[in-house]
Amino acid sequence: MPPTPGEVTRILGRLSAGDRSAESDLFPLIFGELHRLAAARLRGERNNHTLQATALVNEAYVRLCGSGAIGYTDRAHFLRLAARLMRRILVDYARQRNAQKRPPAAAQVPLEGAVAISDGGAESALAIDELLERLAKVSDRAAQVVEMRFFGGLSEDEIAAGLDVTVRTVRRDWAMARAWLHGALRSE
Amino acid sequence: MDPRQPSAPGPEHWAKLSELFEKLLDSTDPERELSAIADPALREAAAELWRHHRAAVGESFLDRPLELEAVPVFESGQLLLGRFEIRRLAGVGGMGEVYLAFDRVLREETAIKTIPRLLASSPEIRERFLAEVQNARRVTHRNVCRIFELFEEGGNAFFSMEWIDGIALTEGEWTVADRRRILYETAQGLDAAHRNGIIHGDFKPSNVMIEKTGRAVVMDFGLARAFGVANPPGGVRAGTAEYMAPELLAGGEPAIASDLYAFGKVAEWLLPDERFWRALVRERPSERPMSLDPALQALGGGANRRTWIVGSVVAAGVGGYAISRIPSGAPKLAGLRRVLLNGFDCEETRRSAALVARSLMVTVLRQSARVAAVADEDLLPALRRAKLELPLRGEALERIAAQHRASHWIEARLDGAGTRVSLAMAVHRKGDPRALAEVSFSDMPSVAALAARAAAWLRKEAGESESSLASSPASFLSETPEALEYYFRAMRHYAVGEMAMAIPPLEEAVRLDPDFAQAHHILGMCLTQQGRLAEGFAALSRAMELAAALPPRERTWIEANYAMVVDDPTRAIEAGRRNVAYFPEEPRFERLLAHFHCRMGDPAAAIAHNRRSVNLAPGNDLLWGELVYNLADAGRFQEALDAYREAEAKGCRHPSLDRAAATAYLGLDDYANALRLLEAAPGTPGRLIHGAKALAGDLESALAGLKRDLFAAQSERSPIAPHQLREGLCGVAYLFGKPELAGPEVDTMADLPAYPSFGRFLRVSAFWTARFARWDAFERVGVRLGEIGRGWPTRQSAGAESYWRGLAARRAGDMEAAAEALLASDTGDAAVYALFDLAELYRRNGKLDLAEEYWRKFESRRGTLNKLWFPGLAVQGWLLRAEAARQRGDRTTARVCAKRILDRWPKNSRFGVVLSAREIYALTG
Repeated sequence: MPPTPGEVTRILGRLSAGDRSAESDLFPLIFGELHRLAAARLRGERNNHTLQATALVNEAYVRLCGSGAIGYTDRAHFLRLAARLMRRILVDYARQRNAQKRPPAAAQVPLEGAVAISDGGAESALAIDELLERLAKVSDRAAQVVEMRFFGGLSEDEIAAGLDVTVRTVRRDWAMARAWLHGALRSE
Repeated sequence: MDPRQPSAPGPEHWAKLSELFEKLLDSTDPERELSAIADPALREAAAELWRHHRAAVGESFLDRPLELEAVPVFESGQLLLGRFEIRRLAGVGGMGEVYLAFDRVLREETAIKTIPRLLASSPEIRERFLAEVQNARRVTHRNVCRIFELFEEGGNAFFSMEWIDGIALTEGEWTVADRRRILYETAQGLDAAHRNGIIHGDFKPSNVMIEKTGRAVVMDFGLARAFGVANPPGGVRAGTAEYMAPELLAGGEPAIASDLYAFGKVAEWLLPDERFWRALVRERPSERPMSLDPALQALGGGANRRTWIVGSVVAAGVGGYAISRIPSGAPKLAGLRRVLLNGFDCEETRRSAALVARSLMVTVLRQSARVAAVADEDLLPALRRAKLELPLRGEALERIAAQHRASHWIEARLDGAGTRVSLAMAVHRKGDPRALAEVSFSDMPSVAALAARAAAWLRKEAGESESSLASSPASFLSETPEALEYYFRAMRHYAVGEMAMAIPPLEEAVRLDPDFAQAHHILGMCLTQQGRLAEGFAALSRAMELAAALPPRERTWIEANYAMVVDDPTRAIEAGRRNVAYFPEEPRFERLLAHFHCRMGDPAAAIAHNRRSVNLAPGNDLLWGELVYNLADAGRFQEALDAYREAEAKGCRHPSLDRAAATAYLGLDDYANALRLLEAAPGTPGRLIHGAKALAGDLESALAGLKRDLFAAQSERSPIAPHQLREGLCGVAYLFGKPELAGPEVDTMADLPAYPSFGRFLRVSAFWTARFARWDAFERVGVRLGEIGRGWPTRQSAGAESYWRGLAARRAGDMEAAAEALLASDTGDAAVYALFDLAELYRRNGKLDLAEEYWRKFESRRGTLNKLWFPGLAVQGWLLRAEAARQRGDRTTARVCAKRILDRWPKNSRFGVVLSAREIYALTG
């Protein structure tokens, strides 16, 4: 079961207070929860074996932080981290699907046996992941917007809060990053 | 990815583009906006980006966030190995998928769990995995998910396991009472595994399933270790780390201590307010308690007076309700008694209050001749009509009473102490939410007195005599609540055959109340079963002394068991008959009576009682096992297998049931099926497997197995298991035709303590020491049988002495005396040896017709050999019968018997029996 809501909230508090090391404390907690939820969700929905990152991230949030009072910034931090982790999870799944010949690295994340990503999904996940690395070099923020939206499934409001920018900026970053990605992927 | 793409703009370039892009987004005429850009490079870049933007919008490019999907290994409807029909994917876990499947062979639902391909690929990992699964299979406990078998199809490895119809602990909403019970049950499951030296390795809430019936089941035993190779401790263990002991996180191997840590963490999560768990989650493994006993005790509920009082009140209340329904002079309504007891179904509630209440209830019911339970009647009006003054009041209770029907259970809790006490009573009905009632009392002593008065009233109204009333209802049990608490805790173990675990709480019970007859009794039974004979005998003797003061119906059970321990089946059967008459609805007494008949050497008489017991409790696999065993014992092998299938159809599944069926297969000379069942059933004693192998002619492997197991059994407390293995060794040596193979073990067989119930085993010692002419040892057997005969003069001990005298007379050459003594020894379940000796004696004396008659008799008792003794002796019987027939000139019988051996045993073997059989076959050809 997840750690107590208090625990996560406390670490988020440290993060809001500027303690960057809190991030690394929080990572395993959120990561575990996302993984667990992914498996649980797929188990529960018998007829529809797909699920969206949005649902996962939000459920993880409610479970880890409770539905009670938690600071606006804390929630934002949480969602930003969750999106980053979601990206890692999805890319791992995609790798698993695409490259079964590759031997597992010692530190590789153990994957849930039957959770996977569709062929098309895997392809775009890997491609976008790679492109985001490059995009981050010119605009870290734009890359984060894509990460939060595409991998984390977050809404514009949530992204704005997570990055501490206006919704308008989020929209612009998204549109532009998407156009750039489209160009990178399609103009071969 | 095309390496030329895309243009990799620098951050400033991006910033400029971004500015332009925003304008384009806001603009009503983006084309004009674009052409207005002065810098041609920038203009081109912006135009390119805009084009892609338009295209992306048109395509809804990346509009939907990425999705995950499940890709099951198997599909619904798929048939695996022609046996398992996949019904549906039931779950996805870190260690594979779980499917609900239907097993066409066993005709039941089963769970199928896949093994990640990664694991299945490496032989080394597979090997280790198999070993772990084998290991985990040894645990059979109701709170541990059973693993059945490992399979492989189409490159997918999977195993079958018990199907648990329920949800994970992490997925449900549980009350505090649920949580306590769940934790208690999981602790019992873990404890049972630990006692077998099996470690879970990854205990956590998601590894606990809660069945719809409420049973908590620990899943994935040992699998963490099995998978350990694939997931090195250095890797991220998502979701598990918080339950992992620090030494595991540091890369250490799982141990019982790390399971305890995990249990403590789970307990903290489930019941954060308990203080005890902290001891379990200590950082240093050496400081953690090494067993779950303290946890089980903490969970078993505090032994205090309050629960006792509540129990009394509730019991008296419900009991009063029951009694009040019976008009005086009405016939016994025994059939309804179970309905009332269901109200206190311990399996379901497992709470101290309910247990104590049930104890009083049972006592009251048993002691009252006309007591029965009633359904479909309002509780309160009934109580009023009976003018039974009970502290049950209030509108809330009226409401409950109105809803109160047969299928309910009650739990109660006392709050407060001193002058004011409030009783919270919850009444549950199947399918209904609980109804709650609060009742207040002014003080506890009056509550207790009220309860006592109510109980006395119940019994008197039920027509109980004054003298019977003089003994309080609790006298059969105890008037010390704490002692009762321990007693009931022990009984839970006793009921499922966990004798070792029942002993400590029983010892506690008799320490708290030295006059607690029933606790002494059960303690004696447990100790005896565990091979602590002297202590067990002392406890049973004490129980017998105390039993003299008990009402007859409570006394009989103790008498019956005592009679068994002093090896007096005649008396045991008599007491057993009384038990059955007093408690016509308790299957255990039918079972006991059946057991006594078998001990008497009369399994045919047992079967009717076994049948009755399974009719009373059709879902009880142990009772079915006994029925199958005894049918096979009586030589009704086909019927035994029919009963086995019937039990399976009723959903019964238990290793002892499989073992029983195996003895039936042995009787039908279907060794392959017998061995398959014996080897697959966890916990099968080695002697059974090796005996079956010997019967099938695989003497080398039987010999090796017996020697190995005998070595391991030396450390056991009970001398019986080694004795049985020694017998197997003698039997195999005999079949080989090389007595020296048994070595010194023949002599050792003589050294059983002179304890009455060992008389039957000493008979077996007499048989083998005489057969192998180990006369010093044979004499020692005689001395011990004499001691037993003097100490406990029963029909059994007389029979055993007579048997020994018969063998001694044969040795001295006095054939008349030998036959007479052997004929007189035909009593008990070891009498089959006397039949063998008699047949052989008659053959030697040239009384060949009698020899044939006794060989037939011997053959008809083969079932007993298969069940209790050395099954291979039957083969020797066939050989000697063939020889006798040959001498008589009955060539047909001789050839049939010899061929029986030649057909079943390896043709070209050098075993003594095969050589002789071949000779006879040739001579009679």
